[in-house]
Amino acid sequence: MKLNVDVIPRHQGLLAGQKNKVEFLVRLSAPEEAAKEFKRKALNLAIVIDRSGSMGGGQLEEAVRCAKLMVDRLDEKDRVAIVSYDNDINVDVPSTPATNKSFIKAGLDTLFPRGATDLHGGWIAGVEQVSTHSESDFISRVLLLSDGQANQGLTDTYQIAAQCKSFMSANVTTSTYGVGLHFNEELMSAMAMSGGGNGYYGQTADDLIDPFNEEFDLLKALVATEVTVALDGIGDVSFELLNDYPVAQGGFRFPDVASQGDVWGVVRAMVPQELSGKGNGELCQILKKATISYVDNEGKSHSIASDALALPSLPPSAWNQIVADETVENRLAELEASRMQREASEAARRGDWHRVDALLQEANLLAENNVWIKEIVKTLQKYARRRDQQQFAKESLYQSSKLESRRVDRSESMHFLDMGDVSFLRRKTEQGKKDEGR
Amino acid sequence: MIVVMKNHLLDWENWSGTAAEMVSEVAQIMQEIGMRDDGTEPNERLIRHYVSVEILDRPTRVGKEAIYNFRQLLQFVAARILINDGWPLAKVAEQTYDVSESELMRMATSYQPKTAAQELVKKFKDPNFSYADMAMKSSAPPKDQANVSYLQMSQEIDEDFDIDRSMKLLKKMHEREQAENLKDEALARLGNKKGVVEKRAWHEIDVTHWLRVSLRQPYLVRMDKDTAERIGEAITQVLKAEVARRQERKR
Repeated sequence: MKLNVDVIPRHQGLLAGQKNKVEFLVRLSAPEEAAKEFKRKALNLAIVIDRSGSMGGGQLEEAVRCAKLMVDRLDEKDRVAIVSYDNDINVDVPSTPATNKSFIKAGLDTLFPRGATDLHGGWIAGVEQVSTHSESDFISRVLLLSDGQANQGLTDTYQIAAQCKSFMSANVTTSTYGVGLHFNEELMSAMAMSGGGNGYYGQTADDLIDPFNEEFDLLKALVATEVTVALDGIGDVSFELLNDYPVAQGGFRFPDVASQGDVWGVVRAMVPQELSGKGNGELCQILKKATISYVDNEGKSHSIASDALALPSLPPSAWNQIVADETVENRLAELEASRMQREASEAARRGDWHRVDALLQEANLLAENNVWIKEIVKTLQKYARRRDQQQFAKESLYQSSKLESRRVDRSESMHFLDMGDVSFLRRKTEQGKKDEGR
Repeated sequence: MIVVMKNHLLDWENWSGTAAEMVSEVAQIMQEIGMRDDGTEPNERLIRHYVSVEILDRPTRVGKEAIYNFRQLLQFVAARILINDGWPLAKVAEQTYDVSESELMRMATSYQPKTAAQELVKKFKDPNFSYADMAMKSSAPPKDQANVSYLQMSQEIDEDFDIDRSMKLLKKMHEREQAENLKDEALARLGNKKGVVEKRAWHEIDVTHWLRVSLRQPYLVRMDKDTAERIGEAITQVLKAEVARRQERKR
């Protein structure tokens, strides 16, 4: 299966005789026939559940309910393990084919809240469970759920995230689910970001069902995993990827590609003056090719190349007439809004509400042509007005991640938010809440 | 896969030879089954040691030579698999010494190469593993581990982990987290237990030398005439109420 690759420049031209900053979109999607003849890859999951004392009051029950729903949706070819942790780690169900579901779910019924939070110990026990089959024909992922702060075992965010990244390179990815308002969002989102999975949170246990469904729908729709994009430039042209995707195997590790929706990244190329041409319309090449490597659902490795990117060298009068590409503009606005929200999240944690207000006002300017950003800013302003530090910091951090790494439905409108059927393509206005519209 | 392996091992069924010859046979078998041995390389001394701890049966004597056979080959391979899985020697002996040849064959053909993820789990779960140690494997001279600062350590991890922007961001977050903790402790000593400090930019207007109006800057920027009127009215009412209260107290 060959992925579609598009390289779309923001402006169709270079300003002659100047150093140019050129942004272009690298967009990956599955061919239409992939959706029709879709044969999904088997899943090799470990569901890792925090059963520390703070999970009392219904949170653990809800987490167990979500895990059971996930088990119900697995097929016989899938594998699953259940791990729970407080200060002790229990492998409640060792990695097993998802054939005897009542046996697997019975393992979940034995959990009750107690003790402290050895989050790292629980997570690595989950990794251990999926690792036996991590090089075969499975998508191997650990789903880690926690409501608290890691306070036992290894607790350092940087070291844990570095381990997540190492495992991603060994085909075991990590998705995290924070629940409530007291979990460590920096740790949980860093684990997902470095671990090649997805980061979600729910303000209440009841809000968890959406992210569990979203993850599962996405895992079942994946057509290409281990996706890396390497850029091959001309001369002294340098490239910077504006999305915060990890670096892996000589390229950028893009999100996995599903049968629906585009995976994308925006690249900023710095083109030196001497490569910007003489302004006579001659084509100046800045990108020889983008090489995309990935593994398809049959386990076959592929390496495909994009077309080269060459832009006409234009004088200022002609360059000023260029209309920027709308798709690239929208992705850039989302990246900028993402950056502002990440900064706002940090400012809120510092208690610098003046900076938060200023950033939200700036973000509102970006929202002019993008209804989703507008709705996100509205939600964040609600929390900022209440000076609700926990809720603001979490919501802005998770929206920030979503904005920069989301899969895009090419038919979506920038002027109204539709409730599409595909959960992982939906633009939620509040990441931590169940979508009541559904 | 197991069937293929069994047939392959059966090629050695009639083998017999000295300890030196066994070393090369074992190396060949381990290569055939794709086993990467984490422990000591097979050698004559190791074979004799395994005999002394009863992992291997005693060899038979032919003149001055000690002669080993197929069963001892199987015992040796099974033992290396078990040791690689983390079994202690005493427990290995229990599983290899007094067992049938078919059971030894089963063990010797049970080897599954470890996945990269399994190797990583083993490394990260090792209580002796530390990022500082990883840093030291570079060509730099050994450092006093206790003196490796977080920043130095992170820079060296960078090289090991092919660091990228997201990891640099994490490093920044970690440094900020440390600064925040120090700040929280200092604020708590002043009685601010929440550790929250609000910063606001104020615009001050001295109406006369005894009257100052302070306004949050964003509100002043956005203010229109109607709002100014409403503020004036509110201040009038507040001041009137204050005057009334004072007069009340005097009475």
